[in-house]
Amino acid sequence: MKIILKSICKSYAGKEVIRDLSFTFEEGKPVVIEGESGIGKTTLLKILMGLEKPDSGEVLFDEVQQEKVRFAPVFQETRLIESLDAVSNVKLAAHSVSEERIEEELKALIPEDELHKKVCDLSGGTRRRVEIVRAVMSPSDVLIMDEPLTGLDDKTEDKVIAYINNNINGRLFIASSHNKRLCAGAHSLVLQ
Amino acid sequence: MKSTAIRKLLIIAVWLLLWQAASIIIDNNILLAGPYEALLALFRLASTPDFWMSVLMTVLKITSGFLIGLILGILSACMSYRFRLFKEIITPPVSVIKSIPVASFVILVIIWAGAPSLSIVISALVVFPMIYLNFLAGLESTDIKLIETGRLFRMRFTDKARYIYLPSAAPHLRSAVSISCGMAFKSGIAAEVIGRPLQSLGAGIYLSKISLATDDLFAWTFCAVLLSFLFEKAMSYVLRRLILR
Repeated sequence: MKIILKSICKSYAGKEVIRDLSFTFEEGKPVVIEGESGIGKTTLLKILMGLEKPDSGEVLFDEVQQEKVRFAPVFQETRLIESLDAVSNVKLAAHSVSEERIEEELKALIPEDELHKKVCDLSGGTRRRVEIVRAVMSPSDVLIMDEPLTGLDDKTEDKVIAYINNNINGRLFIASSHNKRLCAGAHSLVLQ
Repeated sequence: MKSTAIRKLLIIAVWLLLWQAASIIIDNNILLAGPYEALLALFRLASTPDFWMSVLMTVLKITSGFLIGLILGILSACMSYRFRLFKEIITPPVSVIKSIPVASFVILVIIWAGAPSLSIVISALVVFPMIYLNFLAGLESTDIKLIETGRLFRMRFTDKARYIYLPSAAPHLRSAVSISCGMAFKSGIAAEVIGRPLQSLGAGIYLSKISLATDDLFAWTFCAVLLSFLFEKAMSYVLRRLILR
């Protein structure tokens, strides 16, 4: 599968955030979007998922219609159901997967005794990891991660990077990150 | 906690004493019957099967009207949230229902449907706009970020309803139910006083008016207040158990 960006432009309140961007994302070619804060990385990811519309230009989906593309996002800010535990949050996005399997996956990144705590009682870093597992376990065509390593210490960062790399499973992988190690062999898309 | 309850009881006792004192000073049961006379009247009324039948019929009718208003309000709010055109179509009638005086509706319903179903229709008409507007406001205040997340992850409809929309709409629904329970009883009984359907609490109030029996009026009124209170508690409990957990 391919996602082709053709001359994308986007402005907010007269300030141009993305100017004439053309790029092709392809399966098997992970891409890490780089650039200074506020340069438009998050906006670009939202445009890709259809959450924002470009002012001009096109987002083309090769082989499938945009509505049929299944995205699995990790947003910059936490977007979990606060009243549910980690397992239930993942289950909502991966309802065909058994709870036992979800627990096993979560154990790779978060301590066992936190699996059944409400996510509102978890630390920011742990919630981030729950979101990463949720995205990875969700049946999807495109994995999109916006700064997935934010708030993680070096040791956890290594674990998360290994987990992500082992679980892309042929999906299109697009991320924004300041950390160049995020995805082995990833192509860079530098926004300026 | 215990001292608060005692304080409340004492305050009520003071007001009852003042009421009794006023009725003794006025010394005219037609103008002002005291709490003692009202209590006696309540016991007298409660010893007749007609009283219980009136209470039962009023409760059944107002409950039916309330439930009709509640269900229609929730369904219409969901439709308005989902379909913009539906919202545009339903907004004028909701505004009209909300602002027309209950008395006008009572006359219309008596002409169209007759007195027996009067309190059902009036309670439903009073409850519907309150539930509709509040539930819709709750749905519209749902966190857009969670809605996007649910859509992208293709969450099931029931999961989205339960974990994304309901937590946002529930507080609005809870306060609307609490207010509309009292309103349903007040307007339902007021309608019965005007329409006087047989075997109804409103007809009892009307009879006490034409016979100038203030003690009976207070007894019926106490009954209406108690029923409204119990109804609100029961509805809050049922809603909490069913959907607001």
